[in-house]
Amino acid sequence: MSENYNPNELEWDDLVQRHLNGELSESEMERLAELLDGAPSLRKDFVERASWETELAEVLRTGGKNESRDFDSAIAGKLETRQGKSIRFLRAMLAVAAAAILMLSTLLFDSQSKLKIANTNEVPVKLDSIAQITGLSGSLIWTGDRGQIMREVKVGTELAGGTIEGLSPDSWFELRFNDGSAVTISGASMLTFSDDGQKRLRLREGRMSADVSPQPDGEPMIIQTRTATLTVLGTSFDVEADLPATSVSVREGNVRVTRNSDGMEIDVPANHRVVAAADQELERRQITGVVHQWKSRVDQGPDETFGKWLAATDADPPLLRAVAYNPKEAPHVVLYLLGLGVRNDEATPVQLNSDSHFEIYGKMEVETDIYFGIEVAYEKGDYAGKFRAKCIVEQDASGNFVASADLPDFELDPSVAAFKDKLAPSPEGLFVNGVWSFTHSETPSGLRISAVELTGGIHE
Amino acid sequence: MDSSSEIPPKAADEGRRDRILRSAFECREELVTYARVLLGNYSAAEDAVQEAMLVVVAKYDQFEEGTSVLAWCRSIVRIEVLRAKQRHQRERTFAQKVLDDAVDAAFEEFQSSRTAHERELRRDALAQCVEQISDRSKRVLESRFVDELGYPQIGERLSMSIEAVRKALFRVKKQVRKCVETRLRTAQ
Repeated sequence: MSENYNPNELEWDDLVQRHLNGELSESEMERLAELLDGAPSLRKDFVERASWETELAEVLRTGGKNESRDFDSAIAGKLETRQGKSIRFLRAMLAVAAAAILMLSTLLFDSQSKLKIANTNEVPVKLDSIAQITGLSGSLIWTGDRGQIMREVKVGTELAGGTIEGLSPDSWFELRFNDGSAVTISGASMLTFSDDGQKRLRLREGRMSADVSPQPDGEPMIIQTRTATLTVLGTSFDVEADLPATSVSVREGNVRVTRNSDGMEIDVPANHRVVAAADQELERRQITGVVHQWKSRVDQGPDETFGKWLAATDADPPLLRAVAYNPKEAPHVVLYLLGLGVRNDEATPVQLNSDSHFEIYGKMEVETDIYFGIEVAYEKGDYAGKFRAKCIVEQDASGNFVASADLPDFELDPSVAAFKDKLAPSPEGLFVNGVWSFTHSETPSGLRISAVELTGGIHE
Repeated sequence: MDSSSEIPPKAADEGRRDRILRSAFECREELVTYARVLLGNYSAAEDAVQEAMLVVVAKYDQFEEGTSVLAWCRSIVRIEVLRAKQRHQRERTFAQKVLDDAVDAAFEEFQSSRTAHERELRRDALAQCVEQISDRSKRVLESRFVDELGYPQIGERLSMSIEAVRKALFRVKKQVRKCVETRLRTAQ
């Protein structure tokens, strides 16, 4: 039933059923979330069991003759015929619904007002804020503890905890807790955070950097991912979490990493990295040196990508296809966007120099400009900005292309222009964490790539 | 002139509305399931879905053609669920938030809707299977699913230990589910 977990069926059924009745303790909720996060088969089974329990409840409550079933089938059956009588029946139903809507108008108005507030750049007042937004760009959604959904979060907004979700490869979000601890998420990431004296964060997926101030005795910062739990007293580190593994790279201080699948712990000191995954040995490795070359591994699957991953066919290698995307700054514009994390097997940082040169290999349906972006960080992992270039494109008659850009071609991405003074003036000497590419054409470009390659210089 | 241009705009809009609303109403059970896993209470889930349906009726024109009606309705139910939580408790705990996110992801990934016919077949089979179990087993199920009692209360009502209630529920549900699956296989 599960890849990493094997709760017996009685225990699992009991957990699901008691969840449906709102009877789980805090630790049981954590356990259930962990199980759901860890195994697709359990997620599927959870949905099936929940559906089954609802069917059973409906039958027990109504003896299998509930009004909603008769009502639904009457509507469905009569609409099939589209006879006048049935349409009148639906209209009568709609009239009843309309009356009910009027009765509920205050309630609904209240709801809509909240949504409008969330969309008007107003900064909501949070009575017990625990942190403040100190930087952001790209598309983000914040869901507060009390259910508020806000798409237009802005710098200076004070938050009392909740979930922040980066929706695209160019998303970036920096949060500073009241004690000065700062966390940054970038790319398509999802982070839940709270602070009731002890900071607790949950990185569901994506990349996070943290600079943590010394925490109170006995109340370390706890960061959970699907595969690991990090205990932090005060240090700087990077975390990358996806479904099968969590990678932790420590820049200063010490982080304790506990692997969720077996509870095994390891302390990770400065300049070391560990990968927590059920199928890998939990061991720390020293991070040594830097490299100036990198090549994407689209062939290894969709992990750490943004876009639609396409398996190899007889005609094409594995490809990553761009998907339609509306930038927050210009919602009427449709871009075709894809993105990739920049990693290598040894976790050695990938540094850019003045001779750095990017080449992108792929295919397109139309002839159009290709833009290429990079997200960079300083040596200690702090976010340094996003830069982008318009590529030189060589395309053949069948649509295959090679697009290229040299580091001097890159300029600060317009979406972070407001933070110009805070960010690096140039990507030279910085470390690249992710890349993305997009087209802006009148018709869908069909942009798909097979590889991105960084070399140390044009002549290498 | 194509055939669509012969349909008056008002009739076309009504047709679209009827189609969307019918699909939405057909998802009711799936939506109750979704609301229930987020709210932990059957009655509250029904209330949330009812309120969501009123929003669906009022805002059917915002449905984007070519996308999933179930997913669209689920997003509306989610807002109603969050509002219900807001009314009943001051703040969600961290564990609740994390679990809500996990549950939401599971439903987005795996929930699909059944046709009205499939649902009817299943419900009839289920009703017949429930009729076949012993009175005591039925009382266990009703205490849990109709009266929404906890294990200790069921134990007190039926003179059983908590562990016995837990095991009885598991066993009876499994028995009914097996019976339903057999009936559905036979009916095919």
